[in-house]
Amino acid sequence: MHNLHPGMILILTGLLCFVLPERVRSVTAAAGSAAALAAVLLLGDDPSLTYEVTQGLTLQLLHADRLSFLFGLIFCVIAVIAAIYSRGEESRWEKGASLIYAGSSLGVIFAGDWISLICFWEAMAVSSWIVVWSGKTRSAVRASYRYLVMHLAGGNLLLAGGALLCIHRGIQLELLTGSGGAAFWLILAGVCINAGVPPLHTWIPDAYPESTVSGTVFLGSYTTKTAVYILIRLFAGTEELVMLGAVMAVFGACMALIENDLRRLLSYHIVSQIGMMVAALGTGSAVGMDGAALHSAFNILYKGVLLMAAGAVIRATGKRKITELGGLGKKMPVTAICFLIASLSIAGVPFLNGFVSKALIMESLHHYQAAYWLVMLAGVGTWLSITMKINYFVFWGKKYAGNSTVCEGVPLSMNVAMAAAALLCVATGIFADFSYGFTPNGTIGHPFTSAHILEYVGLFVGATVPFVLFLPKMAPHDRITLDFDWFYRRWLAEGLTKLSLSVNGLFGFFEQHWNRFTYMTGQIIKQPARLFERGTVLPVAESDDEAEGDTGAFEGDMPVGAFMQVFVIFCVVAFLLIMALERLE
Amino acid sequence: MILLKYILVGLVGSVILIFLAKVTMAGLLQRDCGYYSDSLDDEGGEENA
Repeated sequence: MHNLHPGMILILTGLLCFVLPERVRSVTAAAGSAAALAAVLLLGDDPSLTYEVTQGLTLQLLHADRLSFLFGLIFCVIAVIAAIYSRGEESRWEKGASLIYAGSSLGVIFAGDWISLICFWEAMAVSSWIVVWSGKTRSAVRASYRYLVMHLAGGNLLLAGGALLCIHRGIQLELLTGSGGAAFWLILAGVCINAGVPPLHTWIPDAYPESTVSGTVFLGSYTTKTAVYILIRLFAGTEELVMLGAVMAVFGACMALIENDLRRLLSYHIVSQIGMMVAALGTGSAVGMDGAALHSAFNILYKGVLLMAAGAVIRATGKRKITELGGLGKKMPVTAICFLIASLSIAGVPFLNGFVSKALIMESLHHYQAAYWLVMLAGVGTWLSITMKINYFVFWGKKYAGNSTVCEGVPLSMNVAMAAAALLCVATGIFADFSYGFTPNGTIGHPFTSAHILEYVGLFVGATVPFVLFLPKMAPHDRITLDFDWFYRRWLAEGLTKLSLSVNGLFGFFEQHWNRFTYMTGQIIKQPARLFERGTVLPVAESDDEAEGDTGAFEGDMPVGAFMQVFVIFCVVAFLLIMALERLE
Repeated sequence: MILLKYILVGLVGSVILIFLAKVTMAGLLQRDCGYYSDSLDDEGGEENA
């Protein structure tokens, strides 16, 4: 047994990938991920890695218990699978950043104190931003900046809350449920951004579909699941989260139902699935926490397969909209079968892993009837939007009228990665007792009772009937769906533009009059007698151009207004922050 | 009995969801694909392609 930090292995491998030549980069990434997996598997009973910053301040970089072990294990498994999937697919930047991102996520999972956690949290935000940015398209770059703003905001909230806690309670991580106060709400808000709790979820469907096909697999596996881990660790039993999670689950499923972009649809399902986990951990019961943790781990597997299959479709066809796809089942059999398995798994079909973990979630919600039925409704939405809709309209149903999808081959590495993950979905579903062995509190579920199986069979049969009856209505349309990001992509952007133009106009007005004043003053100094001549008007510039001299037209001086605007906003924020801190004290 | 109960739950649940998503939310939230790209000119923060 050892005290080697698995996250550090991945971070070092990522840094190595920045400098290694292309031919060895993929092999190094896979080897580094495998080494991190081995490091997790070989962790001792009570591993500890500390770093003394100063006397009296020691950081606990590696602290593992059953909860962190489960997350660490699944993070490393998906890192290996994603490294295989992305063989030869990524740029230097993306390859390195993906591994640093995975390593930072492991750093958060194994952090034993606030300072380590926040450092790894911020590293995760920046590295994942590079992964989104590596999409390199115009929309990817823009989405990446929106992503960065959201995550830096979340990180700052966490930092502010963590700092308050460090002052009052010390740096050790401990359960915050019921503590209330500014620190509690600041940290919860910061974590909710990463968990994608509406209306703070918009970065998920905005950024994930814009990344490269391999980048999306990494993105879909770490940020939101790390947030779930923190919620279990610090906020389990916060009952407000039960209804919040249940509503989140239904919201994600509804948005997925009307979405046309393949990866955007799957992104909304991340929101929906995280909602189920948030609802379960909000109960604070052992079964709820175990359900949330196990569902999170299994979600990484089946969501990984779904995102990998969507990526394979995009790579093979060059298209990402469902309305542009169809009839791919025969052309891409491995992808189609893997997608089918994962789609059945996410819906909770018996003998697949989603069924095993969802059983714990539903059991934990028995005392919260409203949340129970909302999560049940979200399950129906999952069945309709992924299992039925994508499988029918993309893979197994008839093609769209007039649509002939040209399809190239999928690399072997992609097929191997998808098949391996799909196999894990089946294995962990069939051997349920083995899966329950990983739960943090040792909860053993009994999902394979006839009543429980009949519940799910009945649910899916019932949900299929309206899908078939309303089949033309279920077909997606080639349109975009507005979300809460409308407020900053349209309303706020327009508002800022108008504000910027107003500020520019104001400065232009003052500059013009200042120039006129200096010109007139100059003229008067040159010929003071003219001031006293009868009937003489004061000299004025013949034209605006003359008055402005070398300054030129004001139209091009956009940065003046922008910088002033930033300065004013900075002053206002700083003032509010100081006022808030004074009030807290 | 359990089977029938949950068939009914699935049936009713999916009708509710289809109405909520495909009728209400789609009517309120769906726009043409160029919605964001033509929303602002070069001075704004969005696409100008």
